Amino acid sequence: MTGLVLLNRVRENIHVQLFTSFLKIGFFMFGGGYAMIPLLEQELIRKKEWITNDELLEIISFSQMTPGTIAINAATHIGNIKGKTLGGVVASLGIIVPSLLIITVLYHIAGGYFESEIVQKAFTGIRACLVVMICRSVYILIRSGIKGGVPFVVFLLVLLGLFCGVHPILIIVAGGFSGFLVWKWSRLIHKI
Amino acid sequence: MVRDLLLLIGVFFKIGLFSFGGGLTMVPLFITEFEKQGWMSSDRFMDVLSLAQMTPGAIAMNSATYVGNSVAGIPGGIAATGALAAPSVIIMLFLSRFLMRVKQHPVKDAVFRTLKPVTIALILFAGLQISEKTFFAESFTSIQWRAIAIGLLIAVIQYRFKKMNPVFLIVLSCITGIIIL
Repeated sequence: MTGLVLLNRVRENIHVQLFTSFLKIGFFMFGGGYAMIPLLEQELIRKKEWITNDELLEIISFSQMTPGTIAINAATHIGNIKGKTLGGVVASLGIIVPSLLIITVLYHIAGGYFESEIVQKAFTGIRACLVVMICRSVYILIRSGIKGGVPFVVFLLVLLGLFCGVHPILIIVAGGFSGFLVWKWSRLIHKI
Repeated sequence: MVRDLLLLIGVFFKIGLFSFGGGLTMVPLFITEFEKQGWMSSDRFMDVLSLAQMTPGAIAMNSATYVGNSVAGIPGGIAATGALAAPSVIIMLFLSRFLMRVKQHPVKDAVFRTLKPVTIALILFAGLQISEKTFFAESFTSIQWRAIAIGLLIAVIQYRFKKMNPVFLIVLSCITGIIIL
C-alpha cells in the first residue's frame, strides 16, 4: 500500500513528469528540430496542458534565437517555466538520453555494416529525402525571415562567404554584429 | 584518452555555443571542425547524418554521440553529447525567464534581423553540401540520376500532401534507395 502511494507521489512529481514527457518526445522525434513541433503540440499542449499554442510559437522563436538545437532549447525553457532550474535540466536530459542510448548501441553493434552496399544505398536514399526537406524548410524560412534589403544582402553575403570557406562561427558573429551596426547607424541618421 | 575527451568537450561546446537556429546550421560547423581535428572525413560524416536522420532524436545530438563514440568510445559519446547540449541549457536557463519579459527590444530585434538570414543561409549551405555528396557522388561529372529521381519523388509527395508525416518520407526514401540505387 505504502509502495503504491509512494509510486503515485513519484509519478505526480513535476520533475519526474518533465523528464518522462521529454524522454517520450526524444524517442519519437524523427528528422530533427522542426519535426518535433507536432510532438510538442500533442504532449505539452493537449495532453499535459502545460503551455498554450501561442506560448509554443514563442518558445520556438526564442529557441531559434539562442544557440543550440531547437529541441534542447525548448526542453530547457519549458522545464524552467514548470520546474525551475532543476526542471530545465531534467527536461533537457530527457530529450538527450534517447540519442545517447540509440546511437551508442547502433555504433557498437552496427558500425561495421556501414560500408556494406545495402546500407550505403539506404543512406543515399535518406539523404536525397533530407535535401528535399531542407529545401522546403529554407523556402518557408525565407518567406517569413527575409524581409527587406538588408537581410537579403546579408543572406547573399553569407552564402558567398561559405563558398569561399570562411569559418561559420566567424560568419555568425559578424552577422549578429552587422545587425547591431545597421541599427546604430540608422539611429544616427535619424538624429541628424 | 583524457586528452581526447577534453578535446571532444572543447570542440562540441564551441559548436553548441555558436549554432543558432537548430541542428542543421551545425552541419557546416561539424564538417569544418571534424576535418580540422582529423576525426572524420566529410564523406563519412554524410553516413552519420543519414543515420542521425533515420533514428529518433535531434540530428545534431545523434551526430555528436556517434562522432564521440568513434573518437573515444562510450565516454567520448557521453562527453560530446553533453558538451554540445551544455551551452544551450546554461544560456537558456538564464534567458528563459528574462526573455519572456523582454519580448520586444530594439537591439534584440536589430540583431535578429540579420541573424535570421545568416541562419537560413547556413541551413541552405548544409543542404548544398549534402546534395553535392548525394546527387554528384565524387565529382560534378558523375551525376547520380537515380538519387535525383528519389529526391524528385519525395518533392512531389511533399508538395501534393503538405501534412505528410516526415517519418513516412524517410522510410519511403530508404526503401526506394535500396531498390533502385
